[in-house]
Amino acid sequence: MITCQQVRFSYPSETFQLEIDQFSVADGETVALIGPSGCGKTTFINLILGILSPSSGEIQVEGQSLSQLPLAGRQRFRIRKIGLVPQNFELLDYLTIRENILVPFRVSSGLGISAEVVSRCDELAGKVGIADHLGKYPAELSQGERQRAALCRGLVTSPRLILADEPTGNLDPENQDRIVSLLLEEAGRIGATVLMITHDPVLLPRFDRVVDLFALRQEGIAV
Amino acid sequence: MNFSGIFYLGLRYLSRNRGKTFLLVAAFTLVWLLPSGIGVIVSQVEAQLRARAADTPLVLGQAGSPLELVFNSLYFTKPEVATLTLRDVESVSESGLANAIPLYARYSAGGYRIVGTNLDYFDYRRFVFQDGRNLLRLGECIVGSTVAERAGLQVGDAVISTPETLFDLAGVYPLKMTVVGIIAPTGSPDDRAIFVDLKTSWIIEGLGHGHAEAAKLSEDQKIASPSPDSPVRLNASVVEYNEITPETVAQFHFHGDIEDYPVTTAIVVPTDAKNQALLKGRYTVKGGLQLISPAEEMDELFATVFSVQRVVVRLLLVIGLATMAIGALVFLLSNRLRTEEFRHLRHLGADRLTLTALVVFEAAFVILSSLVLCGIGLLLITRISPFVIRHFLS
Repeated sequence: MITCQQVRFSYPSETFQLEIDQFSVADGETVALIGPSGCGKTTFINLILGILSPSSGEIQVEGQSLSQLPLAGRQRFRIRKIGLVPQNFELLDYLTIRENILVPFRVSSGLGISAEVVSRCDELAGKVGIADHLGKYPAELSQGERQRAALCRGLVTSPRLILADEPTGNLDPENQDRIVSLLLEEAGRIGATVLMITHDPVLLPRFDRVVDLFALRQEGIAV
Repeated sequence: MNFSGIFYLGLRYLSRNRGKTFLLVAAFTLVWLLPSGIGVIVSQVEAQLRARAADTPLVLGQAGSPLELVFNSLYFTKPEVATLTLRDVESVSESGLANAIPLYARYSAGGYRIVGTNLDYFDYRRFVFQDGRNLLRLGECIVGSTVAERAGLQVGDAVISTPETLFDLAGVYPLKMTVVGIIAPTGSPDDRAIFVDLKTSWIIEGLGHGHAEAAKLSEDQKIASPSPDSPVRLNASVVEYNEITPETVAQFHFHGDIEDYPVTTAIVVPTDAKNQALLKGRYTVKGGLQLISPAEEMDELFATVFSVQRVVVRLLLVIGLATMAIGALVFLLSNRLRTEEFRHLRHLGADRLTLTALVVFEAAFVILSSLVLCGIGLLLITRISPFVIRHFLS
């Protein structure tokens, strides 16, 4: 599903440099990505998303080298194949929760909102416990409820790859477990690959594999 | 690009920020509407003034402000214009060069101007009676369609002239006049006027009056008894009539020479262009009187109006440009505040073109909405302003 070869990336104005010689995630695998703050976890996710391009090396998702695609093609690929659950929710304050969950269908030319899609949105909201909040605006919800809405948005397109950036960071232990269960259950149901950043050691055993990005960078080894 | 998605997101953003959207649309609407609205109003005022002026070839009046004279003759405003005499008017008709129609527009009743004139005026303006008949005797009046409608007047009703001042006991008494006709709507100031015979207007002024016959008065109503060589002098106990009826009409009379009685203006209708030129030539040298062409006065008036309008429109354009610059600044600042939102949308798959289209759509929506509102505003101005203009001109 994901393969990285000799990937190098640095921000123009910063000394930070991400170097990953080799990294791969198999189709349908669930991987927890750990590492200390500032080691480049979110940058790595953005490289896989195609939002950032590596200075050198290559990242392939489903056999497609994202850096070889034009910008529009990269975005089209992302919206069709990848579901993102960001760290800071990234909900639009002028849309209701239902509208936020369905945003990927609004910004993509290839996806349309059907009754089936709306039904799936409502079903996901029900599973994470925000069905009663679908008509509300993000400002009216708690941090945890917003995170759950962001999770629903990441899953609603039934993506092949789910990238989650600390999706349980703002939740209590009970909800953390509920969210991760839902994430892994949905991924299993649609055969999606999961790469999730987390700091919570309690959640690690639930993944097929745990990758320490800091160690990966230090050792430069294949994981 | 998903256009329906862009429209949806754009409209949701604008509706969620409806206060800001309303202010922007209102500001842009005013930017378009003010200069164009002024243009429409000025052109309609011009059309109405010129149409009335074009129907009135010449106006005779006492020397003074030509514009006031024109407005008194055509719109029955400016009642304070200096008067000329009936003799002055008749001298024009007697010249054989033109027909002169006297107008005495000084008094009012219920807020509507009472216009004393003769029957030639009705023929000249081609009045059609909606109800009733023409003037036959003193104390009768004919009302315009607007007066009849607003005051709820019908043939047979009475109109009472408004006293000039309540505190002048020796001043003009109100005269009760009977409505004998209602003129069909003309779309001109005539709709808002009350027409009476010239003599009736002089009675309102107090130049003519009616009272009990002196010979039939009791001795205590006379200061001195009648004698062949001295006039009877009556005291204040003699009842003056304030209504002219078939029974009292014979008692109404005028003192002095009617030829010397005042009129405010006269409409002069030359028999042909040559006579018009001749007349105008005569009155340029005739002391105390002026004979002017309302159309020419309107040309001068609108030359001034247009130069003022040009200045006002330029000022409005400057204000408009400033408003648009502020509007553009609002959009730029708003987009800067929305950097995070656009980043989120990019993460979710929106390309740069989609985001650009979203911003362009929102700006276009505000501008188009303001243009539509401006169009509606102009339509309303076009529809309503003729009535408002007529109201102010009458």
